Amino acid sequence: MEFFLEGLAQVANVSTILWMITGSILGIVLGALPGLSATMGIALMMPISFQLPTATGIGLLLAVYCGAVSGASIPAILLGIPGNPNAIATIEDGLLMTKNGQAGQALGGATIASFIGGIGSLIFLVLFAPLIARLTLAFGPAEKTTLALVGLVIIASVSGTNIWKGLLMGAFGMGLAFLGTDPFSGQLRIPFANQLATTPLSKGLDLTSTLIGLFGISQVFIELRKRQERAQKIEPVKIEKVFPPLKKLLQMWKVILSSLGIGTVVGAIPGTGASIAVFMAYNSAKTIVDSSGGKLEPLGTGSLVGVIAPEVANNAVTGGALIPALALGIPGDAATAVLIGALMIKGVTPGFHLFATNMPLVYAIFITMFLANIFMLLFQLMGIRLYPKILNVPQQVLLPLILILSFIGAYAIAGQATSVGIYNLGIALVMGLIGYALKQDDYPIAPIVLGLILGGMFEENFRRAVKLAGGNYWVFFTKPICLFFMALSVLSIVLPLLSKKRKR
Amino acid sequence: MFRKHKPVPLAFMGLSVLYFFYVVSLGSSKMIGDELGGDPGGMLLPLVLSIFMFLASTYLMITDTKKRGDQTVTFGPDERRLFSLTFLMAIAYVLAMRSVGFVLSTAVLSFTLTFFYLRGTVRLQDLKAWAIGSLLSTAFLLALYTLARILTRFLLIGGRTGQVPPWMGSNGFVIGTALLLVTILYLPVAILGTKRMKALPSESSVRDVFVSLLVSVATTELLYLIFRQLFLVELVRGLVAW
Repeated sequence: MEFFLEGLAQVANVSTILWMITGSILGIVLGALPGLSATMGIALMMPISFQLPTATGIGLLLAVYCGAVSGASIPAILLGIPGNPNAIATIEDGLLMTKNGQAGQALGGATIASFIGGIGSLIFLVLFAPLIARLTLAFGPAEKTTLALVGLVIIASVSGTNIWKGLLMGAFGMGLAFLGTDPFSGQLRIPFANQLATTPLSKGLDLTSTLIGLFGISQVFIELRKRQERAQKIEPVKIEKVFPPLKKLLQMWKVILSSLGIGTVVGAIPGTGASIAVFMAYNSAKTIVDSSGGKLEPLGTGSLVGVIAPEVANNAVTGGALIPALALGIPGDAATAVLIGALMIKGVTPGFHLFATNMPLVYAIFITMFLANIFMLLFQLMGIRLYPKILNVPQQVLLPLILILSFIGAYAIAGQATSVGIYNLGIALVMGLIGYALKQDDYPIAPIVLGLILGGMFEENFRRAVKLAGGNYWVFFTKPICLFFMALSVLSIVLPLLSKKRKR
Repeated sequence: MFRKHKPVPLAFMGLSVLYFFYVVSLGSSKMIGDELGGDPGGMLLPLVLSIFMFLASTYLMITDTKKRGDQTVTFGPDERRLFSLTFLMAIAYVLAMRSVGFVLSTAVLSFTLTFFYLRGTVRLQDLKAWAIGSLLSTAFLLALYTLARILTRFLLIGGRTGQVPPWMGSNGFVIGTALLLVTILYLPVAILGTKRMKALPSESSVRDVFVSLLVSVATTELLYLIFRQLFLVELVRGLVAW
């Protein structure tokens, strides 16, 4: 209780509330704009969060996260274009509802469903994250090495269409993490070390600038290329009744519970993410509707169930993804990977250490997550007639804004050190161009982030483990927990390859 | 020879070879205090990584080739020009930031990109409008910036010396007042200008200049207020030294 009150004290101030409201509205807007993802929103807000107290900064990022995941349903329902892949499954019934003159109910239903998903998964987060974190007490350097490996391999193997692309990107990310100074000997590990020894590059790549480049600047170039496709004008949609009938919602309790479970569990598995959860929830809803004896409208006919199921699931992913992120330091998806990055920049390392030494901050994170969902519900419902107009904001105005915000964000993270800021601008630009080239060829970006975040942890623990074992590399195959993680790593590579072969 | 192959695996093959030789040239550095041995050294993991990257990129180069009928996003001449403009402007922004300063370089970057994106392409006949618009936008921004700076200084110094009550010299009040002043001066221009612009045809370059000016001034001033005045980030002053 004492920790909870201390956590509450970190959050219960005007500054946190105002920043979270800003984050929530910004998240909804970002989510609603096709092509702009929650991850990009979080990456762009990282420099601002860095300037704020830790709980306030994390609250801002969580508000953007929850808002963006939910906001993606707006264009999916009104236009049939998902704001980001999280809302793909909402399109079919959502668009039909709009065509049937029920756009308001679809948007309102989606918002309420997102809220239920977010709050439901938060309960799981509060219950399970401390328990899982406690398990890591038994982890030594060898276990931590294999844990980092399993996180990296899973995300690399499931993100994107080609496992090798994912693995290559993971390795690239680790390579980037190794740049800088050797953590044990202090030796410089950068090309042109003599020339760059006195520059900020000697400390390695700045994480925030790298993330801003990979997610923000690269997206500007991608959208520029797609300019012609986005030239459509949005027809005004009449929005009347916003709240779906309560009776109708109560009839869907089975659908809601199953979607909540699916979203949370899928979110908690590293690398999977909302785009998988929404289809699983949609399919599960189909089965429940079929066995309802006609009580629920069949899916694919403009049914509210077809909007509720995926929207509960995609916001349930937010809480689910935070479970491994906070408890183990292994992010559930790209967005939580960036969130971990934000925590690490603040000097907070997720895992048991966080739960053992900074429980008030853990509670503050839980409380801000709760508030993020409340604000998302309030501001999405309040702006339900306004947000469709945002879809008309021309990309010609939006893209320069994103580019400038990316640059200033990368620069500002250096604070008072202007020369570091200039280097950060360069890093962000170079990473933006690399991100653009990779995205063009369908290379997933999430494994790079994971490699960057876990690379340091992997190397430090690997060397410590081998040193403690007296140079014996078999240490990773003799301890049961290590063996379990190693087997998991191998399986997460072999299973997707086998299933691909079977499909052929 | 490489016509069928995609550029990314090739680039990674090259990168991994360079990385391999670089790591070997660095040598293996041992932990401080590793007299008893056991430390695998700093070379092992990067070396394994470079070999893995080489193998993975080689595999991808062989298997992930360009196929006939591959759907690629159209990259028309207008998009190509806008892409090149963005690329060059971004590089120029990074290089010019230190000498030109945050306010001017951000204003020019923002105005240029918004203007040409609104025009839909980069054409010689738009250059005159762009140049005049850039000057106007910079002048308007500098006017707002200067007035806000004068007000900020007056309040901060006045708060300390007792010319104004101390609470008026607090950071929150100063930012709020500066924002209010900028908004009061900005809004009439925006409202009156928008009314006038409605009479112009949608493809008019004057209209695009006006929209770009509004976007550029608002973006730069707001970012300045947030990052410099609220978060005290040291934004480079460059040519605007006051």
